Amino acid sequence: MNKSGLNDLPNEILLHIMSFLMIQDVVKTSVLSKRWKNLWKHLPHLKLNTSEFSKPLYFSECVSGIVSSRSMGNYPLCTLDFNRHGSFQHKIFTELIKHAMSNGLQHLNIVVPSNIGLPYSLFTCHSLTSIYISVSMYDIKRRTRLPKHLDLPALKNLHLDSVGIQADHNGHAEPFSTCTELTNLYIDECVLVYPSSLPRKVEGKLNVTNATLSNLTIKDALTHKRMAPVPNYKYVISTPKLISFTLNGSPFLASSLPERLKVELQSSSMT
Amino acid sequence: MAEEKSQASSSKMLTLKASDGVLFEVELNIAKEMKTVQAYIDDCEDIETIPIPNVLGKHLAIVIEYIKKTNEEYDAEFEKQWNMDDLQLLLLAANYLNISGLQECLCKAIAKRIENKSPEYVRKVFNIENDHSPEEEAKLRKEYKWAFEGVDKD
Repeated sequence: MNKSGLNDLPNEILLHIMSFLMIQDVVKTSVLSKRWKNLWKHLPHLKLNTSEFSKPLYFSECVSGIVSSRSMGNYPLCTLDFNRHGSFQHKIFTELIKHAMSNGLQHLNIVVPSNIGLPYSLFTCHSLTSIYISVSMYDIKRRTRLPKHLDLPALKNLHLDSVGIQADHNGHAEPFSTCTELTNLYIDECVLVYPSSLPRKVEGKLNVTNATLSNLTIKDALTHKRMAPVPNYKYVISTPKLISFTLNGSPFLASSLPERLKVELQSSSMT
Repeated sequence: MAEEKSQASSSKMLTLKASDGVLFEVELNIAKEMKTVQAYIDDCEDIETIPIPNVLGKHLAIVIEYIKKTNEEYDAEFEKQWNMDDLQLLLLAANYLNISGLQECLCKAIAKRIENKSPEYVRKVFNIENDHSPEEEAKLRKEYKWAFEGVDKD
């Protein structure tokens, strides 16, 4: 009885089916037969979402289990989606990011609460081409932040939602100038994080300086959404290759913009 | 003269012969959606009947209908009509004929049907022989304990 079925298909098709499964079902396939034991590790796109787990403990075990399993061989990873709304063990998160970075990660999409620090390895990854970071829960300590310098030479797309941006001792930040491939930048309700030594009433400045940037979108932090008043800061934009610019709210200083730039200014309801 | 020629080529018909001998007459542009058939035509220009040795007439008919009707609505309803055996054979056909849209639709459908099912269930429907030793299987189940929580009863 030679019944034709899924087992007659090449690995790529089996992986294509797996790409539609939740992570639990993906990993369970290892039990099916010898052929399937390590097949799941070849999935180039990992989706880790706490909402798919009944208990936070299972999610933690899932993440650390996947990292140690995949570390046993050479399994490149192309895309990582990580979605965690509650708190999460920093050590496990760091291990996951380090593992992804050392396996050639290109696309990173994370949704985390703002009390999770972002490991430095994330900002020194030479394979990353796109980063999406969204902060889901505001916390006054705001550990989820961009460092002063980014070592991301392959980065083309950067989308930051409610992420802190580290400023220097003068209250200035200029993190994007070293991203030599950057094309699209989206800054949504990001706040400058000042060193504690700085006086309260400093005028912060975010320098958006980049030689290759084509599209820029900036949406201001709305004070009414925050628990503490947010110090306002000025944008200084220096992007000679810019094609489109959408700005919601704050005044800006254009120090190097192309003549025929299409600028869309949207009025915001700022107090 | 040129107009006539182009009209003729757009309604040119091709015959596809399924593994059980069933013949299907299809328009060239429909047949071309099957990249395997396209490659065949590229190799032998004058061909009129193309053998499709791996696909039964029953499934080839479904595949041709899919190509003619595919759109978002059709795809959403498409998979509901077929049982697991047919879905697998259709996927084998879509893979052999190299039709990416159909392959995607079927992979999604099969994934939906094995969601949250036990390995025993999945082995049965896919006809997978378990060649793990009992110790090996127990080891894997322990290692991935978190994955086996809340699985549907078979």
